[in-house]
Amino acid sequence: MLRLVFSVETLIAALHIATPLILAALGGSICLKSGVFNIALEGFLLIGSFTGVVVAYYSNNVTLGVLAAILMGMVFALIFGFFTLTLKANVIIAGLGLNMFALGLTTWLLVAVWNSPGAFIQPSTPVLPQINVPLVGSIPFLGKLLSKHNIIDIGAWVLAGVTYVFMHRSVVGLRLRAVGEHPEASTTAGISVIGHRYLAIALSGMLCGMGGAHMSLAALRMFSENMSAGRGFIAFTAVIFSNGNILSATLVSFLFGFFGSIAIRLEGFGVPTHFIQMIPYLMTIIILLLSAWRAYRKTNPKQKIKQEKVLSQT
Amino acid sequence: MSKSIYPSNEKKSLPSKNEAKNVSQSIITSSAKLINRLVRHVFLPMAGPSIAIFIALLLGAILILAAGENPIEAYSALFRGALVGKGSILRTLRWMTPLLTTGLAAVVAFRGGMFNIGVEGSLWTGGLAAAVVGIYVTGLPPIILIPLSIITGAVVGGLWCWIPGIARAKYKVDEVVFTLMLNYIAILIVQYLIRYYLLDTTRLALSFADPETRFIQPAAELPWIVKDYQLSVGLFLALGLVLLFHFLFRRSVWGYENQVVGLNAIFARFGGVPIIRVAVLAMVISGALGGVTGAVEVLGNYHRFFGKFSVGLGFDGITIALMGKLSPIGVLISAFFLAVLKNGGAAMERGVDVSRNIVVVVQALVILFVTAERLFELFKFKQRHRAEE
Repeated sequence: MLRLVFSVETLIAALHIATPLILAALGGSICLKSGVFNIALEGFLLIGSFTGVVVAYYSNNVTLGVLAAILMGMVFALIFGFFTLTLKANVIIAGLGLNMFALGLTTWLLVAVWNSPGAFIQPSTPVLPQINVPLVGSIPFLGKLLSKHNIIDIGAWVLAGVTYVFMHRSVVGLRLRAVGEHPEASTTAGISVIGHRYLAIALSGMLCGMGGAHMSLAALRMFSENMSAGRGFIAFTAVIFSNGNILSATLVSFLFGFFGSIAIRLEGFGVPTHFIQMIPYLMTIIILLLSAWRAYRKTNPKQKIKQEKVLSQT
Repeated sequence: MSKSIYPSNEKKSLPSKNEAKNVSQSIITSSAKLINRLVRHVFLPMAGPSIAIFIALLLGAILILAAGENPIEAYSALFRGALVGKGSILRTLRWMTPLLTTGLAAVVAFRGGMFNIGVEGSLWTGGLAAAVVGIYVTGLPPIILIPLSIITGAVVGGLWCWIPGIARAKYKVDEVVFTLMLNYIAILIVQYLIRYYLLDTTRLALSFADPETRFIQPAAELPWIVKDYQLSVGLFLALGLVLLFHFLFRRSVWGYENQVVGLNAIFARFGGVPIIRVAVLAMVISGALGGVTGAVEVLGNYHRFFGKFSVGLGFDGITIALMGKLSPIGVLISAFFLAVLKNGGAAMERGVDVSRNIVVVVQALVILFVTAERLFELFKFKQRHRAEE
């Protein structure tokens, strides 16, 4: 059983499951670093997966589907930005509202436009092609692990590196971090706080849109009601755990993907499906508790007032 | 002049002309005060949410139009289906019952500064607990069994939210994600328990597709108000709870502490409020109200527990709390409004070919617009400007 659970196939599936999580976590990290508590990742993922499959089906072109998903993710991100930044809505409530909006809109469109409640299934929809990098396939263990991924699977890891470089080695990245670290000082230095936060939110929307497209276009060729099923929040947990650190958020997202793929593997061993489905959510809670515990240990228990300051701020 | 307006008063308390004048004047001033209070406490707070609802309905209309349907027809079908005729109104009241208590649950938590998204989880766990008591605790008269069952639901629901509550208050664990994840887990645990331990084996074919428990004993059923429209006395219980919390928030120490902790925890701490205990209590009470909702749904309407038990009632509570500006009276108004949308949505789907899911879209838009403070500042600023001129 253990051999089956910890096999190459499990790792491959883990990479696959982790892709949307990684992309969403990258977006979440950028937002957290620029001072936006973005729990709307879930909604961006959902709208991305919906747009992706619909556009890919009608244009019969996967690339166009992915691009449309990215664009739509950005549009929704800008809506979220408009409410939180321009209209000063509470970030958490606006995030919840946006998630609900994405859920309601996609569910409604399924019925209103295609008259197919529950899901949009079109077997003729093109899927993301698998890419076989030459030479890599011939490496004994890694070859099997690294071949047969589609462009977004690979793109997620590449983008993780790119985002890291962008945030830490570019002027805009520095400004994004500055805006999150100390908004007042940034304003004094002539950096537009709202402008940069808009940028961060838009970037997260684009990344989530791509992740969403991966969910619907990688293999399934379908969109089903509430397809993201909490993935946005799982990614958000990875962001909280790593405190916005991009590399660590990527790895934690992969870890979540790994748990997810183990859960699928366990299904053959007579474990009730209810508990298997529970694993990702339980793991999310455990990671959440771990990150809080780490922060709790750092603060001196004697300085209670300081703690409660944080409590009141959030 | 007062003579012509209040003749009856003058006649009744006649002793002298002066006194009569005083009485009528005091009536005028007190009624003016009442109107003033109504305006200040009911109508002005309603202005913001009303604008939000109006914009949301407008955007919803645009969506309906974009889908090639007539929005005016759709909305008129919606409101007619919810408000015209005895059956429609009773069914709206039936949906208002759970919305009142989930709305209250969200209000208690939000006032205490806790973003509790986990009312849905409490609803499921509490509802199942109430059903278990209703099925397996035999030999008790209704007067004991019903309260016992509801209280069990409340306790289980409260304990379910106690976990994230204590984690949030003591260890600063993000309660939004925690409670949301607990929702998924609650639903899965409940479905597991039904599937493996509580399944109604007499109707297995039906139960397998959509697992159900047995029916509760007749002694545990809440009495109907109107049976044909599924309206039970749960409505009175919910209304009673709204009133109770209205007075608790206004008059009790707990209500004050809860609000102060939510508004400014540091201030509360220096004022000697045990902020951790108050914050946890807010979550527990919120969860308990969720549990009560589940219990009333089981004992009052379905008389059993089944797989598709709640249709996002816990999340509706968030909308209601925000629409009602976190006040119990606001909950009363907005729960009724949302019940109209929900019940009318179904009627709209039957009458005009517009899916009821548009209601969820409108609801989401209301959430978005209702907290957009700047939007209302814009309106207010214009008003003030005009007043100065």
